[in-house]
Amino acid sequence: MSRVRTTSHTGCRNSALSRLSDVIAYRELLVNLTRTELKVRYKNSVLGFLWSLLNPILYLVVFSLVFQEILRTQIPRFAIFLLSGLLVWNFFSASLAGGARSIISNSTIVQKVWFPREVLPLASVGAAMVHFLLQALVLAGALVVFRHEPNWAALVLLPLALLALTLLAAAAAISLAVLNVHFRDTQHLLELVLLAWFWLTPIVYNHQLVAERLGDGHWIAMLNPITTVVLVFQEALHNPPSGYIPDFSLWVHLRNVSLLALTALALLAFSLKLFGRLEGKLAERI
Amino acid sequence: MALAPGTIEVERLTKSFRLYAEQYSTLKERALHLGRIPYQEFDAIRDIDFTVNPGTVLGLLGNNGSGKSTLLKCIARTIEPTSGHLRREGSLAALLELGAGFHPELTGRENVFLAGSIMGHTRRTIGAVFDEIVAFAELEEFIDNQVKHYSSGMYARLGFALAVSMEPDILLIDEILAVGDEAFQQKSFDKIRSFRKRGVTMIFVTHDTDLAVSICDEIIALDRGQAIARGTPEEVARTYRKQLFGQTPTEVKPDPVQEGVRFTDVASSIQGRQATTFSPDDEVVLSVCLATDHPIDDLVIAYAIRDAAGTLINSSNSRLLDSGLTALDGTATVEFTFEGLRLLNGTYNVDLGAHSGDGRQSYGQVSSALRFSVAGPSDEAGIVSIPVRCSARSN
Repeated sequence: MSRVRTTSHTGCRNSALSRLSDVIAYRELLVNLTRTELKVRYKNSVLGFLWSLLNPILYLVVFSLVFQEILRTQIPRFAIFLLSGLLVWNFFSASLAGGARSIISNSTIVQKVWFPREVLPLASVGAAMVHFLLQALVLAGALVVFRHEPNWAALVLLPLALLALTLLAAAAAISLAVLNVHFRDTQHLLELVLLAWFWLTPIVYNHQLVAERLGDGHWIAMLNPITTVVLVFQEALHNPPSGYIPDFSLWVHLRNVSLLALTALALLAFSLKLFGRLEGKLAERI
Repeated sequence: MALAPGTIEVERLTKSFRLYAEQYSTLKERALHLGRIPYQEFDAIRDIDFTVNPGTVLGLLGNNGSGKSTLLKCIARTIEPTSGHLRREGSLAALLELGAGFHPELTGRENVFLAGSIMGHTRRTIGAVFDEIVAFAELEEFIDNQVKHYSSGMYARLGFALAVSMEPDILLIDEILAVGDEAFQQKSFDKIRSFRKRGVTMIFVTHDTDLAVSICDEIIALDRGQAIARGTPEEVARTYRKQLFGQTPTEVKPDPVQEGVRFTDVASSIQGRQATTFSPDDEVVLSVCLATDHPIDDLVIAYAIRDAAGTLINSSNSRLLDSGLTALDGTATVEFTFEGLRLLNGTYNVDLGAHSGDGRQSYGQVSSALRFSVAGPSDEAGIVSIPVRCSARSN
């Protein structure tokens, strides 16, 4: 039952705010779809949610082997360094990959029932968030086991960094979901882009190396929004001696993350607008 | 201007589809065929206008491809019209496809909450009617099983029960009442009827003229995307049949020419007004016009009422009923007056026959000369309405 107040179909129900308020009215659906996505993924599997931890563990083993044993990276506590960045990356990439497919894989309900469709990609972001929290628990456990002390002051920045990341992921997921209906190769293209993007983000290597190589142009590396978030996570959780990640003061981190959050907010408004534009023919094109 | 809840206003609504010879949906294909993808424009519905007031039951009648389902989807907002305006007020539930939001891997219980939230309900409101939904769907034993193990009937029953569990201001129904066994169908109809009593606006899509006539207050007949008739059910049903089949509801299909009696017209009426839908208590007059080219001096006219399955319900003839008709020369009209059909809701057929007094010689017969339906408020199930009382006392 959709609660619709006098609406005109051809008129534009397009303002980002009104779309957002529709989504908020359907927040229970968002929760339910997120739960469904998780439940369905792990139903009938013996390990269940442990699967979501297997991916970072495998990355950890492989990258530790390659970077520590073969390439002899100098980063101390490489495992924690890697997990700090991987946590961010996994959340972001899972949101985008799931979001891109979200409308097509729910085509039956999209064709039959009206509800704010933005809820579908947002549910993918929600599911990715649940995995993020699980993996964060594991990382927290690792910190305790290795008696590794985080940077307590920088920890304060994590909620803001996570907020910025979530807004960014939501904006991207919403745009990709609707684009993928119109251009089916979006999801394949996305796989390639994500692969490149992963290596362009300082997750397995030291950002300092890139900054030094770029010299005066080191700000170019900061154009990658994920880098900003990853650096905050590394600063807070890995808390390395100086020289491994840029020696940003907390204020610089705060400025970067705040700028990113504002940009992400603008992108979210844009993505809702884009979604509204392209949504009209969704049910027919699926 | 604010509309009253349950109002739907449709103004010059048009929905065109592009029929592509092939659908190019990847970036590469789009780029290759940049702006040169051949397609035909096709109007599924064209310039549809109507207003539905709160509490009205509107039927959209049409055969396949008439655009009735497209129109319903526009109202349900699952597809966007190409041009025109649509305004509606109030909560809406759509029975477009039962159980559309169900996920096979989830249990019936989980699905009720999931599909309910797709329809915009909160967990609390669904929880409040959950037991009712399960009871209505008759799935108490299976509600915690995954729905992939359900039969299609169980699936649809749960979908129906969920859709009608919250009383909407507007209910859209797309040919889906043929769900489950007969008892469940009866229950579904009763539910629809109770909605009607409580003033829920309903739009009902069907290609079954009799069903539409028996349920709706008003009908719009659609043909190839355009409204071809609009008005009271009986009027529209007649126009619709005439237009689509070149046939009126009371038209007789004469058997191959025979020496004897021709049935030139058959009609049923209540108090002099022609009708084909009755309630169980109506006094119904069945009038049969006869013509013959040769005088017949020993004539009996017989009728037989059958239900949709062909079971004989009642039969009699003009001699048994002392009509006084014994011979026919030229034309005559025979009227059978039923003081109440005492039938329950359904569609019924009337066969007619003319034969000699001893029954040895047939002068002609027509099967299904007339079709009528009964729509009453009855809560009974079966074919026949029997006046019944119930009392109880403890001893």
